[in-house]
Amino acid sequence: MGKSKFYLFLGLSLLAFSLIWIFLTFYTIKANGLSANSPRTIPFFLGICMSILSIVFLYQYNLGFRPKDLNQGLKKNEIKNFFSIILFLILYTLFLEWFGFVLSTPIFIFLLSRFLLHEKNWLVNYLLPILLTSIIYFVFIILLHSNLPRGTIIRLF
Amino acid sequence: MENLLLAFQLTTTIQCLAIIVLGSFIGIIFGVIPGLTYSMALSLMLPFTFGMGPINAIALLVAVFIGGASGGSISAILIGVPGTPSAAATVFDGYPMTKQGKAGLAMGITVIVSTIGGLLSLAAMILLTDFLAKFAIKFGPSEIFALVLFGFSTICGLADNALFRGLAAGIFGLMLMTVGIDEIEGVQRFTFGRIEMLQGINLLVAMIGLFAVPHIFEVFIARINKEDKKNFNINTSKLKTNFPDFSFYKKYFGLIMRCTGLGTIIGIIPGAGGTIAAFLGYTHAKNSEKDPIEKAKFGKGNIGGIVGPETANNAITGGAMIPLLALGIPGDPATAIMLGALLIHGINPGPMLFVQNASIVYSIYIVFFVAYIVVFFMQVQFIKQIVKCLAVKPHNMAIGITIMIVIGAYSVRNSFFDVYVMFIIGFLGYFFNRINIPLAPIILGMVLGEVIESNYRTAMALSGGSFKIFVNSPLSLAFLFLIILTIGLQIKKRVSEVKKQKVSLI
Repeated sequence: MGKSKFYLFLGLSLLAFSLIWIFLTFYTIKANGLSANSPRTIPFFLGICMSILSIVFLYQYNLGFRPKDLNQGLKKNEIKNFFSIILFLILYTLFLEWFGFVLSTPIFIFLLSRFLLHEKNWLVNYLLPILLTSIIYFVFIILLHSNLPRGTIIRLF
Repeated sequence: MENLLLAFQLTTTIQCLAIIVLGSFIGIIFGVIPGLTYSMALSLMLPFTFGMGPINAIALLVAVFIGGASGGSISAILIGVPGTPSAAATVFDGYPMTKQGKAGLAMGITVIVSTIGGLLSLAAMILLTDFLAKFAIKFGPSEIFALVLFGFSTICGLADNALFRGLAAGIFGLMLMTVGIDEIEGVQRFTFGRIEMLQGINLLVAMIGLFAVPHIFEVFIARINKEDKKNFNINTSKLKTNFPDFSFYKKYFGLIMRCTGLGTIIGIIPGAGGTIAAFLGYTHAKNSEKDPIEKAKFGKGNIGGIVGPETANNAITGGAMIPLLALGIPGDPATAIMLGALLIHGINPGPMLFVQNASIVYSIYIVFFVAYIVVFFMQVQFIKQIVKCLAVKPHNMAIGITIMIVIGAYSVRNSFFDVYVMFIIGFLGYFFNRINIPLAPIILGMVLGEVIESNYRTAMALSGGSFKIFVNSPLSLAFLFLIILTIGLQIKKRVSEVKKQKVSLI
């Protein structure tokens, strides 16, 4: 059985992250030097801890450790689906920002349900968008007197 | 006495009682449906609390917490799939009882012991919280720093039995919390000149992202790949909760008491949680059974196999609230969310809460009691209706959750920036889930980060920059010693496991 690359991947990723973090600690936080009590102290200490942990993970890789509970990674088709969902969510958020909750939500639910999740039940495709939008509108606006996005473009009219 | 009367008045309004009923129902539903957790329900309910007063907000969250803690056993017994991880041990004997046609009795026993365990843990909570708060009021910043750091190390160490990955997750949470304006000197940290970043990463936005986004990704991807879990259509026509007779109480009284104590203690320990409590409760029930014939029935429908885990996993609810109220330290993600909600409403849990806002503490006790009673009646009277929610397809439920998390994250500060932050944290959460990095320490790191830093820096300012302040106090020294001991023991355990693994490979 070959070496599991899990700890190599984890160790290298965390090492890169912690080094960038420490670099940013010095270049984005304006403070005088690095005393034991400054705004840089805790972020710097956390960066050091993370880099030590990354070295521990690399050492574990070197010793041939394999995580006993590792059972899944990202499969190829999963990555494609992952990005299609992200695209849907980002588009929904953008439309929410431009056209507001009442207009964007039913359309998003319909498109998500019908075209991404391939829901064939017409009752779900048409009723769920209207029902869900109405319920959330009722709870937030009428019951809780809270805010829902009104849409920057809609507000122009 | 005045505070108790005030608390009674505040919690017995029609509005508050209606919120408890609604919260209990939502909690039970999230508990019943496999894949949904009460931590997720709590994070989804948070935005709804913004428009409420503090008592109503607490009532909603406590009711969801209790409903969720109790609801997981329903699906464990009826379909053999635990609704929540803490109900996993109930499957061993609950599901065989259903197969033997005793589902009603199994449900009845579960409802009874869950309520007894929960209410007794409430009694322990009332006694211990007050005692601990009186003791903790004498703590200075160095003691609080060491204590919170100890809690943090325990949480990371116990997370999914992966010490280093738990620590990395916890440190990542602490790092996220340093983004924004430093509260002591007003210096900007990791803001990259963006106005939206000045207030830092909102805790509630991060919680919604970490608990809900990975779930919707799992469900949607499974659906697209046609690997989605089927919904459960259960024939509810004959389903009825049956209560056991008097001999049950006579036989299992001792076990219920012991498992309540066990669950409460595990609830107090940061990071241990309901799953550990339930499995320990099950093991204790099995080991304490003296009759060999009865012992052989464990795993085949033994009543003790339900009593042990169900009492213990509900007793953690009171136990987990003790460090939250007395010290301001949440022991698990659910209490971390409650801490976040309390802070939003200007309530700071900790020893001073008893001095400044005693009526709030009493209100929590009353809400806790009422919620257990409501959950009891719901599980008895509306079991058929509750079980019907298992027929909802997971992806349809996930669509609803998607809309709620987007609106929830937006309504925290009426900002779309928060929605994007939630998605980014959620994507990371999904990725971390896939590579088995525990998420709970990230949340706890974010919750405890501010307390750790502010107390560390106050202590350092008091000592004139000397680290001796942390070793001069016997209490903080003891906590620091406990941190080393906790991490040391975990490392020792891991090393011995690896040695065994290597031997087996050879």
